[in-house]
This record gives sequence, C-alpha cells and structure tokens, in this order.
Amino acid sequence: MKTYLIILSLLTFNLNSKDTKITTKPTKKKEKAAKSSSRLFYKKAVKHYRNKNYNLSLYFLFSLIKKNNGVSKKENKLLTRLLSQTGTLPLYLYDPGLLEKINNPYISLHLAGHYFKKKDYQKTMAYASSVPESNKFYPEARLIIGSTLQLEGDPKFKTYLKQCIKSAHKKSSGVFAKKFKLYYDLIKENCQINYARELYAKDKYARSNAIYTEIPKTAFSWPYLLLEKAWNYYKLKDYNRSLGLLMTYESPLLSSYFLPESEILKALNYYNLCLYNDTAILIEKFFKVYKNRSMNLRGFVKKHKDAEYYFNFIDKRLNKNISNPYVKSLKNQLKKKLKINLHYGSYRKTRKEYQRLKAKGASKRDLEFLEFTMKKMRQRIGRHVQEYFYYFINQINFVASEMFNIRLEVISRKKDLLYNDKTLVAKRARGSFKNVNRDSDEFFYTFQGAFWADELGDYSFGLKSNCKEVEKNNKE
Amino acid sequence: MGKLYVITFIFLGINFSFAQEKIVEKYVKRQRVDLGNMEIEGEVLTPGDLSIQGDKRKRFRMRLYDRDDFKFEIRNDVLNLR
Repeated sequence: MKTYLIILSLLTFNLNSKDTKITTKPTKKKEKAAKSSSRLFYKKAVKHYRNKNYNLSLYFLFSLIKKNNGVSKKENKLLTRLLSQTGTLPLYLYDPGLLEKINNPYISLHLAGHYFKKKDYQKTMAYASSVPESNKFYPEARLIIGSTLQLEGDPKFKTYLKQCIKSAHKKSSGVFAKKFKLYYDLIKENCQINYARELYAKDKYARSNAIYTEIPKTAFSWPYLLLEKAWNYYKLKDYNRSLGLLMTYESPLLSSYFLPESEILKALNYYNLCLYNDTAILIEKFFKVYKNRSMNLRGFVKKHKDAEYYFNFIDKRLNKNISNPYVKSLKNQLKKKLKINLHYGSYRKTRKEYQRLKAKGASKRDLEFLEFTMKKMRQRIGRHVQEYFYYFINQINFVASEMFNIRLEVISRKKDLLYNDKTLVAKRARGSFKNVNRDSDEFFYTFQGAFWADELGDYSFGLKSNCKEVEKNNKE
Repeated sequence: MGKLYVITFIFLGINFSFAQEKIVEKYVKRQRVDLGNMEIEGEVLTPGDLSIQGDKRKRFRMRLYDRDDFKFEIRNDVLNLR
C-alpha cells in the first residue's frame, strides 16, 4: 500500500509539474523599494520641472514610465506640460515602442510623423486620429490624415482637409502670440495647397489656380507655389503667363529660392512657343552655370559626411561666410522650414538649460545627460539639412538629363525644318501686349526692369507663338 | 593446310572487294571565254527616267518631362512638419 501511495504521489507530482509556472512574487520589502524609487523619480521630475530644467525632468519622467511600463494620469499631465516646453525633438531620443504605451497628444503626433516617414499609413492614421479636437495640434493632425488619404487615393481626404482649414483658422484667430499665429496659418495654407494639387492631378487647372491665388504673397510657402502655379498655366497652354511666373524667381527678393525644376519648365514653355533659339540658349546657360555649381556642391557634400557639420549651417552663431551660392541659397530656404524652426528652438532651449545648470554647478551626471541630448539633437537637425542637400543635388542631375532631352528635341525640330526646306514664321518672335492673356480684374503695366514686391507673381511674357511654318523661298 | 589457304584467299577476296577505288579528279588548266561572241536574249523593262520612291520619313518624338501630380510635394510637406 505504501509503495502504491509513493508511486501515485510521484505521478501526481509529474502531472502537476507540467503546468507549474515558477512565479516569483516580490517580497514586501522589494515592493516597497520599487514604490519608493518610483516616488523618487517622480519627485525628481517635478523638482526639475519647477526649476525649469525641462529636459532633465523629461528624462526622470521617462525613466519612471519605463520602470512602471505605463503612465498614470498625474504623470501624463506633467508629460504634456514638459513637452509643451521642450517640443517634440527630445522624443527622438526614446524608443517608439516605449512611446506607444503612452496616450498623449504630443506623443501621438510624434508617432504619426514617425510612421508616416516609414510609409506605415495605417499606424499614421491611428495615431493622428487620437489627437482630440480641443488639442492645439488638432489642425496638424488633420493635415497628416488628409495627406495620407490623399496619397492613398482615398476621396475621404477632403473631409479632413476641410476640418484642418476650419480648425486652423479658428485657432489662429484665437491666439495672440505671433509665433502660434504663423504656425496655424502655415498649416491652413498647406491644407489649401493640397486641395489645389488634387485639382491639378484631375486636370482642373483653372480651378486649381484659383485656390493658389487665395494664398497670400507673404506666406512662407508662397515662393514654392509659383512653380506649381506655373505648371497649371503650362497645362492651360498659357506659356507666356507660365514664363512670367517663373521669371519672378529672378527678383532679388526671391534670389535664394532656386528651384531646379523651374528651369525645365522655362525651357518647355519656350519650346512650345517654338522659340527654339531661346530654348537652346536657356539650356546652354543651365549647363554652363548651374552644372558647375552643382558639381562644387557635390564635392562639398562628399567631403563633409558628419551630420553635426550640417547643423552649423542652421546655427546662427556659426558659418556666416559661405561662398558657394547654392549652399547659401539652401541655407536660407532651410531656415524658413517649420521643422527646422521648431527643432532649432528646442535645441536652443536645451542649450540654455545646460548653460544655466553648468553655471550653478550641477552634478556631472546631469550635465553629461544634457550634453548627450544636445549632441543627438544636433545630429538630428544636421541629418535633415544633409538630406536636403542630397535631394537638391539629385534634382540638379534629374534636371540636367531632362534638359538634354529637350535639347535633342530642339535639334530634331530644326533638322526637320531644314529637310522640308521650311522655316519658322519669324526668327525671333518678340513680345507684344496682344499676346498677354488677362482676366477682367487684371491690369497691364509694362516691365521697366525693376521688380516691385506687390507685382511679384503676376508677371506675364507677351511672346508670340512662332510655330507657324512657311516655305523657305517664300520668306526670302 | 589446304583449308588454311582457302580461308586466307577468301579473306583476301573480301578485302579487295571492299577496298574503295581511288578517284583522281583533273581540272582543265586553261579555259578561253570569248565575251564578244556571247549574246543575252530578253526585253528591257527599266523606266525611261531615273526615279526614286522613298518611304515617308518616320518622325520619332522624345517624351519630354511632364508633371502628372504633386504627390512628392504632399509627402514632403508632412515630413517637414516635425
């Protein structure tokens, strides 16, 4: 009987052991220690927040969140306050996996941007949708959703863009700070522009242009819109107006806005007016002037590969003597980008925090953390600048290949005329008021060689189309 | 012995019968052609005037740059937000 019992007990032990999970319950002592360390982290976060050491406070708060694998209501409130001071740039220092556990509008917006970059549009929409209407970033979140849907070809994008325009307008009129006003105006303009872009894609060029005209000339995005508007006129076969808009880039006010694509469009406009000599001159100029400059820029980018080096272009205190005109132009363009402005603002605040703490004689550990944060921030901004430089070089290469195609086509046309013993109606058809298309509310002033700020973007050439072919003998 | 002679002769006979004959080809060393005596019979069918009828010249046109949409700009604008 005893042996039976022993065997039975052994069997039951084996059966039980299969399901047994070894769980280590924290002892009361350990639990107490964990609680007290959590309390300590929170206390430190609050203390630093009160002393306006926002980055350090954020560090302790995130350490607490990581430890507890989540965030309490009280901690989330502090997080919102901190992020409103630091901006979203410090969030790049933390793992997106950790950030996903936090339900906070700032973090949702950051994650939406993070997944948008990765082209994970489902997650982008999920995070952007979680930003409530009451939040100050609601228009931006709507813009992200609208753009995502637009890229995916979903017609629902219109609803989100409408919400974006409406909310941005409302919030812009409700704030007094100029900085915030500019921010909301920029978001609103972006939503309006996306509407115009959609109409262009659907071949509704006149309606698209009407929306572009609503954007004020003082808007940050306005110089870039000139090119898009010029494309609309090109599609409407109003080559003179398209050339006039592109000529605006020659004005001293817009000298830093060199957009390589505008050179292709200029050449295409001349080509379509059958002004082959003008097209050839323009292409020649491009290859002589811009190609060399771009080669210089290429050499410059190849030489400097460190992201932190590019940060210096944005930092106002450094690198004021830039000789390369492209680098200068890119620097000026970048300084007007929202992302650069927001991130550089965050960096400056962190630098001030570091300098203040250093002067106070803060602990080595705190200073080292801030140094590390600043380095990462510089790299992040620098990488963005670097990306822009690479994008610009690629654009130049692309334009060069397209310009070459236009040049070949011009040669081919000229050869055709020669073979058919024909010539164009005029060697150089020049401007005339008759060739300017204008609306009933537009006035006509002749260009006297000077650019006036209020006239920018309203220029039109008066070139006559030279596409009529005549027999060579008749002309002579 | 007699049998051996017979068999040898039979084999030799077969060998001779299968052996190929050597053909030696000889070419004429010189041939004289009198072109003046040659005559060609037929009718002249060529037109009186010299004319060339060429195919119509095919015009190849290059596909020049054209913008279909601004999708790149839409994406870039969002990437430049934050």
